[in-house]
Amino acid sequence: MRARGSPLANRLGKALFQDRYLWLLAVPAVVYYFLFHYLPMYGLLIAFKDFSPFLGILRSPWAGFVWFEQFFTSIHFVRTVRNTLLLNFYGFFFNFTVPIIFALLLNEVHNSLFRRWVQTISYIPHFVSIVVVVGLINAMFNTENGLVNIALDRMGVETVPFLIMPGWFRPLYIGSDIWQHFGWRAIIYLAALTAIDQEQYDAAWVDGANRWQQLRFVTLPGIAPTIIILMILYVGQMMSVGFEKILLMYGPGTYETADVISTFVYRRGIAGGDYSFAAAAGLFNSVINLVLILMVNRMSRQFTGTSLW
Amino acid sequence: MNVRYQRSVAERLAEYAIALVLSVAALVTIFPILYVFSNSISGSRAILGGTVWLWPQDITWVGYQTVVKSTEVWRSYYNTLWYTSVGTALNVAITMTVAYPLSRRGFRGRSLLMFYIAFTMWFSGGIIPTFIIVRNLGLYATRWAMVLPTAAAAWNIIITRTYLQSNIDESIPESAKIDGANDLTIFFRIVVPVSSTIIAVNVLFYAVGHWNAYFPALIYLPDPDLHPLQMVLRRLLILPPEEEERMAFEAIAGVTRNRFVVIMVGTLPILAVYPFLQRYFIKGVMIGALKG
Repeated sequence: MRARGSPLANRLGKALFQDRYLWLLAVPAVVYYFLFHYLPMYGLLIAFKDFSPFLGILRSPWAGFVWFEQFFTSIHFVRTVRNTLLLNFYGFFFNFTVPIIFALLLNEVHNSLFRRWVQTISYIPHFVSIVVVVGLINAMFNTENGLVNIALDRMGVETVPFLIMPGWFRPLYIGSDIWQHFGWRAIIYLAALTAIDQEQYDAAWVDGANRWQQLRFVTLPGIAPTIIILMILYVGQMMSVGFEKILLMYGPGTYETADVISTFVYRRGIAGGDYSFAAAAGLFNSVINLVLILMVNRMSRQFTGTSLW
Repeated sequence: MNVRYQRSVAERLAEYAIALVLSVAALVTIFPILYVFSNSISGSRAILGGTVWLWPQDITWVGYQTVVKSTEVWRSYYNTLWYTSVGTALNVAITMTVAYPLSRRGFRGRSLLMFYIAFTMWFSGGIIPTFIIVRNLGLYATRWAMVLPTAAAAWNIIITRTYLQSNIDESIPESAKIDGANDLTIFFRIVVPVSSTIIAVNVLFYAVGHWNAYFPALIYLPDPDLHPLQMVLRRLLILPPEEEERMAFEAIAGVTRNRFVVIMVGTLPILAVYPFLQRYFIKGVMIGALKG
């Protein structure tokens, strides 16, 4: 007996029926992603509307591109885009140098007890909350009784108001980021290093390679795929990462170097109530993010054969 | 790597240099935490005189006594425990139930579902639309705003799927099916019991995330009674102190010391469980590195 309908719909129905319990298991996640990720994407409509909370997303009047024009021509545009890109660029650079160097150094240590101690200590700060990390920065660098300024004072040097100077924001932000995460980020590289076949080193040694040449021709190629995957993943969260920390660190005095697109969106949207304008700025941020990911993934596939999809 | 030949003098020197660099790195890493701890139990004169560098002076527990007596701290601790336990339970349930179908090679619709989830990693509505939707759903100013909008993370789903894929052979569900079990039975009776490692990994990552979160509370919770510990820490550590707190000498020393104390209070629970659980954290990183 043959059911009605096209063969395709038929096959689809049969497949759905056969996998019905697997779909059932997926229901909570499907609902969650619909409510809290896809509905907000639909909510992006307000970037093209004059949103009023009373009228709601659908009934608010259309506004075209006015919010985008307003954002692109405001003084905040250049400043927040520059800060977003610069902080990400520095973050990217130190993320892919310090942990790798740390892992390479640790890999040269033969005393396993020392090695374990250093490694364990190195990733403790990773689990400290950003509120506490910013609290630590304040405790170390404030003008009244911060450790660094006390030290400067003892040495007869004039104290520096680090926390409110635009010029010190980036070093403090990036430096504390390295402090917090270098050990954690090194874990993956250490694992990749131990996975390199010892025979490759032996072969290199037989061929007369010295330590540096072994590093250059065996070790680095051995961990390159790991580095590339991590780079792609990092780019994927580049435009958003860190803004919760900046929100805790910055103040009107440091907006010049600290204000990024996301913090600006928060200030204007959540704190200021300019929902449509802030949503437009946020959409700009999301689109740049997507473009970056697609670019990096494509470049990586072209040049190295490693890619996410 | 093993050294297969006699080490030269230069190489020995290099090894000492490396050990030195690593020791300095470890000291710099641990120093701020030791410094804060020492200050948190030092006397007022030592704190304001700035004489505490590494070891505590005139040891006193008065700071901890003050903070322990604060109802605000206790209430926020309770709230944090609530958000962490309810949130993590929800996270793990959603992650496991969806990761299993995603791990089954025979599941038609698997790549569609994977795309549906992974796409949210590459593109999002952003802060404002999410805020409006959460409010429209009636979650604003309720505890649920702290757990439902972050009920799953794509990254955790992916590592869990990878783990299940490489640890549960496709032949197991096949043969269970022949024995008459359906996919629900297979999931609850076979998959969950053998997945304690990945469940532990998920519990830890999600729990640390909830424990450390302040931003959802900042935007969704106007009522301080519902605030988690991190919001109280934010007020005490980062926002400028209220006027009456900064008058007398003792008061200033007290405020400063209490800042150090609350840093410790917010961090100690995680530092205390960390040595016992670190292998699970590391395991999570490893599974994640297998395939993005």
